[in-house]
Amino acid sequence: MKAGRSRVALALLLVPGLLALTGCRDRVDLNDRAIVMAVGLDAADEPGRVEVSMAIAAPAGATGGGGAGNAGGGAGGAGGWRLIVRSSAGRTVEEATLGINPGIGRRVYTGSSALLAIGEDLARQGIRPWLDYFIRASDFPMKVWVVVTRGRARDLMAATSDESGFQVLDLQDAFEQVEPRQALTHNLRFWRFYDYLVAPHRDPWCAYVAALERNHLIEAVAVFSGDRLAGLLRDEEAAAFGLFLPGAFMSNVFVARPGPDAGEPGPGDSVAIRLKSVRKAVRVTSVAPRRLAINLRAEAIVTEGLPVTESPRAEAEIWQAKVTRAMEESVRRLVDRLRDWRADPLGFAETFRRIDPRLAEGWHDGWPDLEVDVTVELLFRTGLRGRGIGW
Amino acid sequence: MTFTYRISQWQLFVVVALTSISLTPFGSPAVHHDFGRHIWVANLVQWLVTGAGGLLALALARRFAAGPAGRFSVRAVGPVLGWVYGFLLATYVFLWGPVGTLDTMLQLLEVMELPETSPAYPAALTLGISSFAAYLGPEVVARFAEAFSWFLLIGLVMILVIPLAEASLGALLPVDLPDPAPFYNGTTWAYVLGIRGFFLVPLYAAYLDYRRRVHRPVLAGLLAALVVVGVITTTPHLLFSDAALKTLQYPGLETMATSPITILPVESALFVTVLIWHGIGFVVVAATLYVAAALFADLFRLPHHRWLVPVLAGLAFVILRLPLQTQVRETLMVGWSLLGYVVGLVFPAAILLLRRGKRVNP
Amino acid sequence: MFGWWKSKRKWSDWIRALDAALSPSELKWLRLRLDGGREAAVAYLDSVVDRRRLREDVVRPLVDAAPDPKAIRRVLSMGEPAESLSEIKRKVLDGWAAVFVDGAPLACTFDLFHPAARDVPEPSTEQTLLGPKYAFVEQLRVNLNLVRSRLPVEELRIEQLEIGRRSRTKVAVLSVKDVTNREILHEVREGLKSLDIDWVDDASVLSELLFGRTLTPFPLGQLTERPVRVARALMNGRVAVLVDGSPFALIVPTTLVELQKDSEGFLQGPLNRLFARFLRAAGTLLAVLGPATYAALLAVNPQILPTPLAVTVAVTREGVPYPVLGEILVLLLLQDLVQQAAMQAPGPLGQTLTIVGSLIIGQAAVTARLASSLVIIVLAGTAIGSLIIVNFPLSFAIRIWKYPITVLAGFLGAFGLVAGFASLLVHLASLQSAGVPYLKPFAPLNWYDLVHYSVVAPSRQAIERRPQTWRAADTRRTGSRARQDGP
Repeated sequence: MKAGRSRVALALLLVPGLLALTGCRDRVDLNDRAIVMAVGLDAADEPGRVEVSMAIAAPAGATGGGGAGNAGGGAGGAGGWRLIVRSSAGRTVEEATLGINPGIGRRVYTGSSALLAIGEDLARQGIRPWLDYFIRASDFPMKVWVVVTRGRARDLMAATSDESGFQVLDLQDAFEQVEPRQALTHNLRFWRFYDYLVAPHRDPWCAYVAALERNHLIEAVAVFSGDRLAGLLRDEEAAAFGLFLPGAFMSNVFVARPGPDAGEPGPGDSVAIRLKSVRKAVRVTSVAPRRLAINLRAEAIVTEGLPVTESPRAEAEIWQAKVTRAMEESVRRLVDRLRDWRADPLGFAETFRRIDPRLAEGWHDGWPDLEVDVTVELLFRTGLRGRGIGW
Repeated sequence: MTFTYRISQWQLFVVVALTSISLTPFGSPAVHHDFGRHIWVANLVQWLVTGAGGLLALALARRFAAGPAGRFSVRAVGPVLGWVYGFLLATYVFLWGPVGTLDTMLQLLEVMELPETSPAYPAALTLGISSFAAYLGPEVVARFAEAFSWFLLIGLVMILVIPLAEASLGALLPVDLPDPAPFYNGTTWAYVLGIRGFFLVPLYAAYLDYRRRVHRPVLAGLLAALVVVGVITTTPHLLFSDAALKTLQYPGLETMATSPITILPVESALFVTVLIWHGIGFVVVAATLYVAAALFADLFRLPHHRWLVPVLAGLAFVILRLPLQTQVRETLMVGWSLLGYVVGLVFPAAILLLRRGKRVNP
Repeated sequence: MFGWWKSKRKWSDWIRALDAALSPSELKWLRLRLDGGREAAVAYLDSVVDRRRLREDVVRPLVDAAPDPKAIRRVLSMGEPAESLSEIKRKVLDGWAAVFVDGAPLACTFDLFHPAARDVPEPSTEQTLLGPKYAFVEQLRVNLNLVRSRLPVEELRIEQLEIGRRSRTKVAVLSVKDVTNREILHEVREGLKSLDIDWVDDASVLSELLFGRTLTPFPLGQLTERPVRVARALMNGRVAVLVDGSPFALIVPTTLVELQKDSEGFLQGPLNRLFARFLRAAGTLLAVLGPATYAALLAVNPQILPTPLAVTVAVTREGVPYPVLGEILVLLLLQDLVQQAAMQAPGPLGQTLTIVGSLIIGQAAVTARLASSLVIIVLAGTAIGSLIIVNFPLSFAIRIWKYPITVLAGFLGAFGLVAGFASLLVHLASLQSAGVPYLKPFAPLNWYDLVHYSVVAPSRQAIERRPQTWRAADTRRTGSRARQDGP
């Protein structure tokens, strides 16, 4: 390469390079941004308006009161930082966001958020119009967790806790850890929630969280019908719901209690199982009357109640039948409940649609007339696979 | 010290593959919106057009292109018509690469990364670096593409694999008949002509050693591009429902935002994706800038392409910064896509049918 | 042969001629009385001649033989006759002694050069763990000796050239017949011959002259102080240039990958070598892109950081008065200052400086809230990355290139990072060393070299074939040519 050529080439490179040095307005240092850890949406006092709350991480020294003035030392690392909560209402999310003034002289930055909390009131009014902003904002992460809060979302964000100082942070940790209790909702991140919300043949669901005195509680599964909160699934219904979610059935506990005709049970007076695997088959018939057949084949390990043996015995078979019936019962109850709510979080309408899109049309109205069969086949394992080495 | 290195088969493969992949998956969100889950139909048509164009370009290259780049049209159809064709081709390559691709790249940048920075800066930077490569000649462009491809390859594999973590094949709906309406739309046809790497073939072929075969690298490059574009356009359908996809701006990118790479301190794979697409953009702009400059230099009988490179880069910058209404922009885009159709398919086919050139033998 | 005996020329005639040509104060004349009133004189440069050998090998035999002309002739026949004044001048300057005898038309010269030699040292810039521990010195002859003894091959060709109109510095071009590519050898030889300069002092200068003064910071010729490396390069088909007075050999052509190679594959097995190469590549990338990534992540694109990390980083930067870009640029500059100072400071002091620079200043800056603690980690990574690069000039080039990339990344984020990296690649792609592209075997791709020499190198197959990058004339190590010498 001759010297002259390279010099000209270098000039070609340098001139725009130097130009680029001026006026790049996206350069805002991280410590000059108000890092938003969680975003909350609540119904504002006037109809048609939304209240946006943001939990902002701020250095411990910065001013500002907010709901929580606690120094969050645990999660804050060496320097120490705390959360401050700011809210603002507006006709749109954008307007409300612009109204939020962190009060610490920084630019609001939502790119690191990990939680989107929706207040119960807003959820019951309908959330679709308010989520559009988040899917379009390029820096809002699509994999934040979505929760519906008991009461106002703002209260959850301001709630303190024993562990990390803030219930918002505890909640994030809980979701990240996939703790069995949260397994039901662990794979429902914002993008999927949004997908189910927008999809015509499916309804979204998410965790329903209550901020307690010094702790949070994932109380139930919040099920939507359309974009409105339809109801909450608790206990056995939630467990039945989990049977249909990949990875979530592991945490389910089904308990059968002895009926009046039962013989001698095991050591306890009930049997509890943990499921190893579930294979589900949902079949539909397209001819009238429309019929939905749900068949679940599960393998279960007895965790309490029956003696540890290598193969099923007569008493185990009795209990197997009982637990099977209990499971069928709870699944049926779940489906009934969903039918009442006209909610379809499990995507049954999708099954119809796959056969013929016309079947799925107007399914919301046809849902209560649908006939539903539920069958459960359960394989019991009381503990041992074989006798082991000395066999 | 002057040794001339010819472009190798592998380099041709890399250049053709990268220009064919280009920013196609994001080139037209409108097409995604129109076709929805039937995007595979558009992909298929696109591939057929590309394949036809690629084969025609290969045939042209083999029959007429044993000389300076761009001279083949003159050899094929005579000085006047050949000159006109060469001019159209050069214009098309210029409009497609330094203008069209860069425009898409800048839009991507504005939406995903630098919402507040004026696009003028990245535009100037990209054109500057690409001119640097194009100025230094085809071999440097090819080597740059090749060297960059090592990094791009890693990134592309990540792009293809990572979103699959959350994907499920069960989300695919059964095949049904697509709605023909989008095909009556100009944007669709602009997208169908989206894979345009083959336009570079006859031009780069002039630099190939003819003892080597041109077919294999070109076809392999087109095939690789088809696979990549196909996977990237279909993966969103494994994650999102049709209705949700229609509300996303860049489905291929937003898919990446769904899965965190937990093992690295990287929150979102989107970062890698955007880097990779920018990287490909650099290669495409450099290659097309060179080709356009070389073609124009040949047409106007300039001794060397070098001084045309900064001129064309400046022109591209001006065109990019022209305040145009969206409608005008769309119309122009459809217009020059049709120009590409004529230049890439109709004309070569006509030449091949009507003219018998001297086959370049080894 | 010794017809000069009958000449009428007196030795004193030479005095005037030589004194006029060379500096009289340094030029010594030793006058000897021979038989029959004949006189002889020995001229030499006091500074470069070995006096003991002058006495033992020249003066004493001459004096002993004084009465007998035949004996004198025998003594003189051990020297080399010099034909002209300019030749005598040359040789005297090179540390030869010229003996003039009355009546002789020419002088007889003896090589009595006394090298201000040091022992063959250990390599200082290319440290090696398991490998021969000797390096080049300043004398060309010693260096040639080192290469020869390392490479007792009959095809080894050493061409001696003289470069420099005034200095006539001895330069040796080494190649292996039938192995070295003739074009490359011709290119190097002609390039050297065509140099028009009055003085050459070092191999690095020669490298610059050979490739032209380009703006590239990357070394286009490989400087090495290890004879082993020269020997290996020669057997792979490259050309080595040794300059008198320089303890470094210049190997051309070279590539980026070659510069990154360790001097010997002391690690056994391909996996170990692969890992070592991977570490080196990663270190290089870290050195170029590390600060830029930091600037991009913290100043423009923090979306990428996980939430807890983002908060932690923001907290550590709390109270730092500069923007991220300014902070990292100032500290990078400071770090390079320290490295430069440490390089020039004498041995132990240099190490102290490095420690002071990297640890104490950094720590002090963090404590004084002038820098965040994360930036110190990034700096440490960058420094280690640039230290892991074997070739010093290359590591310097990398150190220069990190600045523009960091600036671009600091303003334009990830896009700036890619743009900076792309421009680096374009620059590297445009470089050629003696006609070999700098990025070979990655671009242009050469699978054989990539697999057997660059990644795993040298593998089992590499024992049989030479790397193709250097376009060696004879590609096979085994086979007919090698078997010729066999039984």
